[in-house]
Amino acid sequence: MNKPKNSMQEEQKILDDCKKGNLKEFGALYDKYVRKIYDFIFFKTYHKETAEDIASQTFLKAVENVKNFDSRKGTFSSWLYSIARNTVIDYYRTRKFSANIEDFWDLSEENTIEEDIDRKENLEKIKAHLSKLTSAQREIIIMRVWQEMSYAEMAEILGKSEESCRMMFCRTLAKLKSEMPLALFILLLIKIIWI
Amino acid sequence: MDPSLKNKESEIVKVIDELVAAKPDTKFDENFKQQLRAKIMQKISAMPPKKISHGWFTVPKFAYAMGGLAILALVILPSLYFYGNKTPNAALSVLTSKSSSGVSVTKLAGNAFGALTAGQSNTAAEKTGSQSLAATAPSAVNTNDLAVSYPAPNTPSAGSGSVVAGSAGSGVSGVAASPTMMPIRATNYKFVYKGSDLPQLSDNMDVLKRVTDGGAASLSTVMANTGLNFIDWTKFSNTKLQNISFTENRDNGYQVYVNFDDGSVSISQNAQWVASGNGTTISSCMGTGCVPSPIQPIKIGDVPSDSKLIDVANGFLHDYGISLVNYGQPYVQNDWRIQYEATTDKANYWIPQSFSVIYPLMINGKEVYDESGNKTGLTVNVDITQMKATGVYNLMTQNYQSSSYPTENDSARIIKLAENGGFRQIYYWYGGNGESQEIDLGTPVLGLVQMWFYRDNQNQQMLVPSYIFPVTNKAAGAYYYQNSVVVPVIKDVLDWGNSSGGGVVPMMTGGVQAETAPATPPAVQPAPAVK
Repeated sequence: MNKPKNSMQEEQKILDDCKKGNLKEFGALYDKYVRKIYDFIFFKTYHKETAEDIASQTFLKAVENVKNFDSRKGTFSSWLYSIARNTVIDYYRTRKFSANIEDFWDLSEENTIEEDIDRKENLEKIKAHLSKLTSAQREIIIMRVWQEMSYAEMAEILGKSEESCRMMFCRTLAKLKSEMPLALFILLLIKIIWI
Repeated sequence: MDPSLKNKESEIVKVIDELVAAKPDTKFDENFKQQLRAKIMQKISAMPPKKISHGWFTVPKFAYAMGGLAILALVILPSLYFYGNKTPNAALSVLTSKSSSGVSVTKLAGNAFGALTAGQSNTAAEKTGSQSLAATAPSAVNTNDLAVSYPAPNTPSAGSGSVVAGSAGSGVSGVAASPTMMPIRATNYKFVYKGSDLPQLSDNMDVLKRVTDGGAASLSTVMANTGLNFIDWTKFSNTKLQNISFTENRDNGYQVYVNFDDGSVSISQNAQWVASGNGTTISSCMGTGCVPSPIQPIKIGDVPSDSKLIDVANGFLHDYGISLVNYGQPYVQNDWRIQYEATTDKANYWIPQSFSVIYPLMINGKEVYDESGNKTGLTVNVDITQMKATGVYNLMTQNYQSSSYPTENDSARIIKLAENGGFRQIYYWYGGNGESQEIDLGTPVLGLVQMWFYRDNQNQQMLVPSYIFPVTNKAAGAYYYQNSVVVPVIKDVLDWGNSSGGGVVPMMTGGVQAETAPATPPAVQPAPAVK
């Protein structure tokens, strides 16, 4: 599903106003993206307060730098998501974890943060399977299934082609299916839902 | 689907279905959203203005912002030109030269305003009456000063629609009853704080007092430009220009009232020229009782979205050069929906024709609220039958003096007062005769609350730093309007508002008790960690 053209035009107008110094207009962009960005970060951290903290940093960085945003290099959406992703990576790095930590799933047992207690028990059940995916594969699954993004949106954000995103999504599903008997998968998911 | 997976399509679909079902609740918090928004707006306000280049020199962009009194120049100067004066007269140029296009705050020494609440009454009736006092603040239109004989513009009262002034006697505060409304139930609202620990505040915080320049002007100089020379105006001494008003002589025009005493401008639709030319005459009064042409009742489906109403308001402000640089994100006042939802006969419910779009004022990065905890500021009324702005109010100069006053840092006391309903306890406690309803309060934000104190024979508008506790779960059912609970953090005001024996302080059985003065000073507590 592509963004309606008038929506893109409205967004561009707001960005033009921001670049002219009328930063109050940024509020409209904030309202449009805050939920999506927050959810995106939550699915990488699985901790409400952490997600709020990182989302705050993301938008504060965005408002500081929106005057320098160049729409010729990409959409505002992809720019904002890249800030969010980088801020998540910085979050894990500042806690002296491995430089390869991109999300919660990359954490080893030794690197578990105390805030993870929230859903640690629940996530253990599914972690064994999702953790076998690469961070790129997890990202694809989460963006497509949980965040309901179109391939076009995912391509913009990930810097890939739509076809590439589509293929990766299908193959990741196939991998998930093959590594977990469906009955067990359903059972585990039911337990997660009801806890 | 990738061709190689086509033969497994049904199984893949099942996996997707299970993944969708397993999607975790991200616990997105609207409170967080609003707080972060306010934080971002504060950051924006604190950013240096962008310099715009005019080639060989640059000027700060804020110098071009049109503030409240800039519109006075648009109003005053054309009238002078009409009377043949080609240059602004000296008297009026004095007025405009003192105006500011934005917010100005002059810092004074501590306690410069004296005891803030000295001489203020503390009884229940007068406390709730202070809200109606706010509704008749100098910014309201005085019909006696209007140059034409039609009703005063419909000025919104403080917290209009959300709190009924003087409603302390009713825990079912609402507006005019409709015969189809649900039966009124006596409800005891018990506030419960569920937010984070409160941060330690500085020992003192600034209280702001709004100041106006007044309309000092030489009458003879002003009148010399009007052509009304049949009286010797010089015989009047020590005069000041208090207000002017004018109307546009056209269909769908506006009338404008300028109050120099308090530096405000009110704009409203010129009722005498609402419609003409098609044979339908509209009388000078508004409302279904006066208008000869039948007005079709508004249906719920006719009500436009908030964003469309805001667009109309934005458009008007833009067209008339009214700057929004000192205002936050606008919102539409929709408290009528609370009653609408409670009404059993929705088809015959009277849906308003005019909606208020409110642009919260921001001073020093903080949003301004009324005593009921509603964001307040510039107001634009939009008529949804015309999709047109029909009124602008609270457009005024924003010049303040500030002075620091001691703050209250006893978090327990503040939270207790919040759970007791805050500074203005709106809802009555029925005791055993009412059903109970818990209202959750979230982590507060610091804002400035507009309060009026009668001092030196005049109403003085103050902005008092206060905690604004958001209501995070509105009571289901009818008549609950309150969006937040206000607790001032300035000790002078807090102590006055909650002194024993005064105010509507319900004695809640088993719950929060009315506060009494502590026997010993509270122990100094370590600064709580901010979560």
